[in-house]
Amino acid sequence: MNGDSARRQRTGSLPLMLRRSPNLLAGLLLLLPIVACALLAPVIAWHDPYAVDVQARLLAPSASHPFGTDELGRDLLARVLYGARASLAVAFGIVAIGAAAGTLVGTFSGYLGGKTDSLIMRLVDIFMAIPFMVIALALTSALGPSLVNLVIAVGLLSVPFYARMARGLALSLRRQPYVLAAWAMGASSAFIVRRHIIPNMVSSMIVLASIGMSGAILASSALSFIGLGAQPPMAELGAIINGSRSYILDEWWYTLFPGVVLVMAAFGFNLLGDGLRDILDPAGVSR
Amino acid sequence: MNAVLSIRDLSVRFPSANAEVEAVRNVSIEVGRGEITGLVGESGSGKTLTAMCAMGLQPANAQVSAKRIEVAGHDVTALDRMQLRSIRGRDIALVPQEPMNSLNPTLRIGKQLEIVIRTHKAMTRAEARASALHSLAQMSIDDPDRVLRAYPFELSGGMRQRVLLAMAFSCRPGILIADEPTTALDVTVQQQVLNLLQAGARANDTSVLFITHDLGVVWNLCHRVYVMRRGEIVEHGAARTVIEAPQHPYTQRLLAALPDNSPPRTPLPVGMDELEPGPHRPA
Repeated sequence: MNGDSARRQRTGSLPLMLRRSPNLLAGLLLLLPIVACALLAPVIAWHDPYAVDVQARLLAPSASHPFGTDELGRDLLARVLYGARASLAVAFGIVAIGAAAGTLVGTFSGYLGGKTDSLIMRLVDIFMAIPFMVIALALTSALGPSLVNLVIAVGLLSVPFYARMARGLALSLRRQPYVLAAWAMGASSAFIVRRHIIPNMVSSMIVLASIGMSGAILASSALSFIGLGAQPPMAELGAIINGSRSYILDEWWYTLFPGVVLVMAAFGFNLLGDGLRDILDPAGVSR
Repeated sequence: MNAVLSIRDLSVRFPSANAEVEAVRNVSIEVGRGEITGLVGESGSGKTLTAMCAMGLQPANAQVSAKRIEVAGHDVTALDRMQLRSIRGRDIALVPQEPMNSLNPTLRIGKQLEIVIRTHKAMTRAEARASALHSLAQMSIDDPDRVLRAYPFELSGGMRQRVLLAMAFSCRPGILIADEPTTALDVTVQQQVLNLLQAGARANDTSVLFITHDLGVVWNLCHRVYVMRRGEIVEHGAARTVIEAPQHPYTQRLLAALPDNSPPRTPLPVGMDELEPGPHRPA
């Protein structure tokens, strides 16, 4: 029973971690270019994503327009870069809301236990039983279509996903010997939750959030695709793909490039999550 | 006797749907000032539960009844949650069984000591830090500065148990509950930790309730001993008397259960590296 060596390994260097988890490597390889391009979109794109040029409508990829142009002659490379930027920001907002609120709700539920716990968890069950897209549709149409409302709606809907995990972690962490030791030293409940329980669930929640990012990207793009998120002329991956629907048969580049970027991002976050899980809680670490 | 810990007629029941379990029955324990008292019994006999009741830390579904539970002059049964919190760590402290998991893996040792000290004393961070350093040094930790900055995973089991001892003694409690503090340690480290416990108790004027199943340790360490079985005290008295002339058949069997039935071991000279001779129980 020696957890020390395992614990030390997990704080190893980045190359070591990459060698131990091919998933992490693959995830980073997919995500790094996308994230870099999204952050540097204003620097990289030499066209304005909103500049209409009807003369240049639906041009095939060329040196001047590497991804081609859309039906209004806007440069697709610029639109995809800005679109990725918008999609990533939206997904990040969704995950931030969901993970933060979910951690609080789940910790509260798991730590208190008893009737409170049952009540909260049954509510969570109800939300998980209804198909996600259906409530997302209802909420976004009730709030009115806009990106901010989409972030709020999808963020709130993802709370149960994080709350379940946080509850399970809180249930097991509150029985840890160091929590008992803290009780015996006179710590208060609030203090135990803040200093002993939440910090020790962070690594697991990061894994979940990373996997949640891919779901959030897909959900926000899907809602924008059906017109409940980003509004034209805003560049957002789902909205761009929506615009391309009528041209999918003849102007292949219009759908392909935003679609590929969307898939890379979603897949990349999934792999990153798996990779982080391999590294943060490797099976067989004695606790 | 002026007792630091006094439990009179403690019973603990766990109600359940079909059968009520009485885990502790009419247990009375007294620990006098400056005394190290053993509480011996096999696992499941109610030793730890008894001790937890003294801190008001019994499980939520336990029904506790007692004529008296008194810790350093405080009547535990009459205290509210806030008052209980204020005596835990200050008047009554715990050295837990599992040093490996009893420190928070996400906080540095110094921070954890500081937290305990500042919970009970009005001190600035710098003062608490100095006090933490002093506590570590008292547990003969060679470079307390490095240990203060270390995370728990950087320390060995024996080192962690010393840190936990330092933590328990940091507020100079009247009584310390040591719940099988050496069970998880290997034999060579066990004796060092026991010596530190003894020295710390003397230096801080702290009495100890020492929970164990190891009669050899009781012989070496304890003044008096209570033998517990199935939730009841079956025998108590001066440690050496009980071990040399056990009255109750259960105590006799416990003694007979020591490997090859040899007499209790003699203390291990400090610093000796080889394994102890004679009987030793697997941790």
